[in-house]
Amino acid sequence: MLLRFDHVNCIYDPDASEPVHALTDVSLSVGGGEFVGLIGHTGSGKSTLVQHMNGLLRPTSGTVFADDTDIWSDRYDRKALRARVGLVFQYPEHQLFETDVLADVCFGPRNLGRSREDAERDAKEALSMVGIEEALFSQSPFDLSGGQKRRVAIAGVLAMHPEILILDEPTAGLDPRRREEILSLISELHETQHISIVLVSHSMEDVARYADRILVMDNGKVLYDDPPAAVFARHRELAAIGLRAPEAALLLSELSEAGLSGFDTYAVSAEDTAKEILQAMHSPQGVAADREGAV
Amino acid sequence: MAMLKDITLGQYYPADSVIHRLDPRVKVVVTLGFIVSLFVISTIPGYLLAALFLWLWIRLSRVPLRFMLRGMKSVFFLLFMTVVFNLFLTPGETLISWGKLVITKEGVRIASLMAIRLVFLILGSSVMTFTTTPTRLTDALESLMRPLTRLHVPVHEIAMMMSIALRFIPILMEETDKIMKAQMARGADFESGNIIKRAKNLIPLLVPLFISAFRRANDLAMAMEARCYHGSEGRTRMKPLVYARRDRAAYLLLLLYLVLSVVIGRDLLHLSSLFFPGGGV
Repeated sequence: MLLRFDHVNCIYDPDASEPVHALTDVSLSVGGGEFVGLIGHTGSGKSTLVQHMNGLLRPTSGTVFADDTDIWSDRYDRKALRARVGLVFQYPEHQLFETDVLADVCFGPRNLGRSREDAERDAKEALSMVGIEEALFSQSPFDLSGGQKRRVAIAGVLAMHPEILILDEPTAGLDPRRREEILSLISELHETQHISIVLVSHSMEDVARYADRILVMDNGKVLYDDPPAAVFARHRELAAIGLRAPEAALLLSELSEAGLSGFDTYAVSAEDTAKEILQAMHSPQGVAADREGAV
Repeated sequence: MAMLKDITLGQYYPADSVIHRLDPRVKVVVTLGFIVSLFVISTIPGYLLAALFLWLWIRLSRVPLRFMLRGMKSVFFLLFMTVVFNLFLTPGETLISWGKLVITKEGVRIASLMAIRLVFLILGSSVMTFTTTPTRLTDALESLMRPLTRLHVPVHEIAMMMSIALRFIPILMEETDKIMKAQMARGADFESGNIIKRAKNLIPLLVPLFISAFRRANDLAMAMEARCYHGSEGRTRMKPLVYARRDRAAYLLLLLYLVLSVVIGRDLLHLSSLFFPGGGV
């Protein structure tokens, strides 16, 4: 499915002494099997934007279309939309409430009107996707470790079979190992289940590795909407709005400023960067030709 | 959620005004004085005087009236019930009647009186909460209640509990909003169904909310202990409350208003009815 934003504005509390323009003239589209990274510093409007994607917030003006239907038109079933556009909030483990893990994951599918058996099947499937063993199914979600809780919470959304999965800072507060686990889990879901992903983060590194496309937000506006390499090439503009391009991209651009030419300054991952540098050092012309071939 | 946003009553409205800058103790005393005056006054000129005072109080605070009236929405039901009950259940000289329903002259009088008093009371006291941060307000209460420590009332502890409770209202509201949205993202429905179903639907909201409240309380207690909090003994303030000239002026204005409200607000002929309810009126 495809979500399209058409000149969406969102103003919080228009009557207050200082109304907050959370979103200003946002037009974009997400979905269709893509892996989209959404970055911006705290307060840039990322969370507000994603809450418009599944109809939790209503735009003050502008329209959100899901497969060309206005999601705020009369009689549009927003509950069904929320199943198709799964949203995992920040610190999702804080929403766990049931007496055991399985029941908590069943909450979503049960709300959609699925039978107990179907819901349990969906829940078990989702739990195995996120790597929770069967032994934990009957435990209280509150007895799990932090990383496990988060995975159970993500399973709670996955069990509804979303076509687009939005994750708001899914790695916040986790140690590096759990971070890695969650990120590779997301990338696996994208590749094996063909779910479109919107990954919200303020860490460029996280987003850079997986995203096909990056949206950069600042002050309620979408500043850039480009492939990662093109976004990171603007590392100075990013720094100006408090974002840091990945180390690899910074290193390459510094090397190029220092006079080492002949590589693609837009490389993103550490491995690619190392390759670029080695190639540039050995045969600059060869790399230049390669780049032209690739672009 | 829209319904949580509508609760403007008791919120702080940031602005730069004389009333915002007043000593919070003055605001508490003025509010109390105004409330007392509302129950002393019983004549039309008296109410005009109270209205004038209220108008001045609101205008000086620079809080938009529209914003204040939005807060009134939540007490509208209470107001409505008060008026209806007083209108129909006050015995006296019949004005209009449909069968058993009788509106009396006294009923109209008392109903409109109560309505005016309630509206004035809520508006008057909301100016205080709109212009004073909860911390300042509890500071004021602590300072005003200080004499009670002689009677072994734990004034500081009460004030501290109050300020913590107040401090947590917006946090818990935000948390409620977040959990509600998170559960709605999982298909939860908080708006339809009969009352029993709705109450049941609240479980996915209340359980996480309680857990988070306890977690926050625990964290806060730890943080306070880590900073050596040990109650009121020997505790000094970063911003001690000191009266300025405008505060004295405000007290003077209040005194003037109170004297005037007794002079023109009281129907002196009927004063006796206050003490001897059987006679008069």
